[in-house]
Amino acid sequence: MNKYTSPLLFPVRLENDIILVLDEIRLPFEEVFIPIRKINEAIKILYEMRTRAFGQVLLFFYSAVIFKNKVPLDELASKFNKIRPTFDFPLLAELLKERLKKTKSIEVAVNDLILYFDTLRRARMKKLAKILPNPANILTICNVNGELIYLYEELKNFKKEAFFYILETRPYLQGTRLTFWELRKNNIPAKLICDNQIATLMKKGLINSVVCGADRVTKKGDIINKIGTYPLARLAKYFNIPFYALTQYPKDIDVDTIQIEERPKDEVFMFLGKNHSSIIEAIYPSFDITKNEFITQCIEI
Amino acid sequence: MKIADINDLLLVWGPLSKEGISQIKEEANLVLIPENRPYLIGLKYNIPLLKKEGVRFIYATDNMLGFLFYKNKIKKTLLFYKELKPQGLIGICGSLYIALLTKLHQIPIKIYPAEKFISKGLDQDASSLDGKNFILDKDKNNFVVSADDELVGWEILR
Repeated sequence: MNKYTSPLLFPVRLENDIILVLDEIRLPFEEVFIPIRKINEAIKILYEMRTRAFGQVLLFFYSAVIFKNKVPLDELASKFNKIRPTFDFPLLAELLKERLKKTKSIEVAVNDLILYFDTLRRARMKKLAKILPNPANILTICNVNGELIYLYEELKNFKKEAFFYILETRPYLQGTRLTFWELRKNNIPAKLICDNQIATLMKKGLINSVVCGADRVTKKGDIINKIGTYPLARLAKYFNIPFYALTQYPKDIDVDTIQIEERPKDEVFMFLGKNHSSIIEAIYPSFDITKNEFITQCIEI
Repeated sequence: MKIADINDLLLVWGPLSKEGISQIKEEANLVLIPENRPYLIGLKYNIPLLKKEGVRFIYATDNMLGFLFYKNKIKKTLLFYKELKPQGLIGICGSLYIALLTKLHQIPIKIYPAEKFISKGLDQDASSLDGKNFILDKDKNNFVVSADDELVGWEILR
């Protein structure tokens, strides 16, 4: 058994034809799984951001299994894409179709793909751990579903010390509620910061590498990731700090043509004591764009 | 409101002063009010003031500002400082972040003295939001970076 682990590594499971989704909104206070039996339930929890990142990949694949006789794959991808327009669900459908050519059932294809992805995630972290300095003082944003746990293990294997600085990642606080929580749960050294503290930390020389995920990547190496990634990359470049993006399946498209999802304004206030959305106008782009000139290296899966 | 519908924003960082409000009214642009974590000065202090003065504004979290710079939505930054020093100005947490993003996007920046505000009773660091604690108590003291005031060098403001 691994010494370090996180429920966020596999936040969605399939058990007896029911999809169980770890409700990320309720973390870190409660670890609750939401049962999904109908396609509308899957769509609803996706819309409500109960799961995201690798969780939405798993949700898509398991939906493909349990709704196989009701919703064709392309239609499923289109339904998911309508809710989360920035993420490439049609690509997941294509990968699954490819896998189905080699296996007899969708259940086997999905399980194979998930195991394959996990192997790739770990290999990607090994690649990154080899590159990072010793000690590695890593600044990170949002949450990459347990991959930083893999990174920490790989850094240890290389006999490298590591310390994580985590951006709280407003408005959903994924940095605080997910990344900081999963690292500290494993007693991994980490400190939490406000999103606006990055420049001062970099100026003080506390950071020597930045690591982030990427929801989309182009063949040119431009990425789309959680809102706040772009200023992180701009400032890293200004302070000569290497910036690494964890990427997968680059596409030959212009990054500026990808639709940036804008979420409802009430979500800007959702973790505050009061919902101010009826009296305060707000915006909520949930992703931003970072061009390759600000990225040191894309660590491909 | 959608990003496509907004333009020529006046970005305000720090506690607004009377002088700052006069400047804002003169320019008559839509004002961008970021949260100003950890204290939430934007929400708790600046917005009530702008509402009282009848100034149009829009609210965003601090990490959304980069995207607005990228999309050329910000016309000018108004940075409210606590103190002037020979090396530069002292501003609240995040002042360096704002000053650098403004400089890197070649947007004009104007500085004004901030109104004095009392942070007692407000969030003091990233561990809490609007009074609610989001991390385990055991991690509270040693695992959060304190939100100290920041020095912004004159070379950045030039």
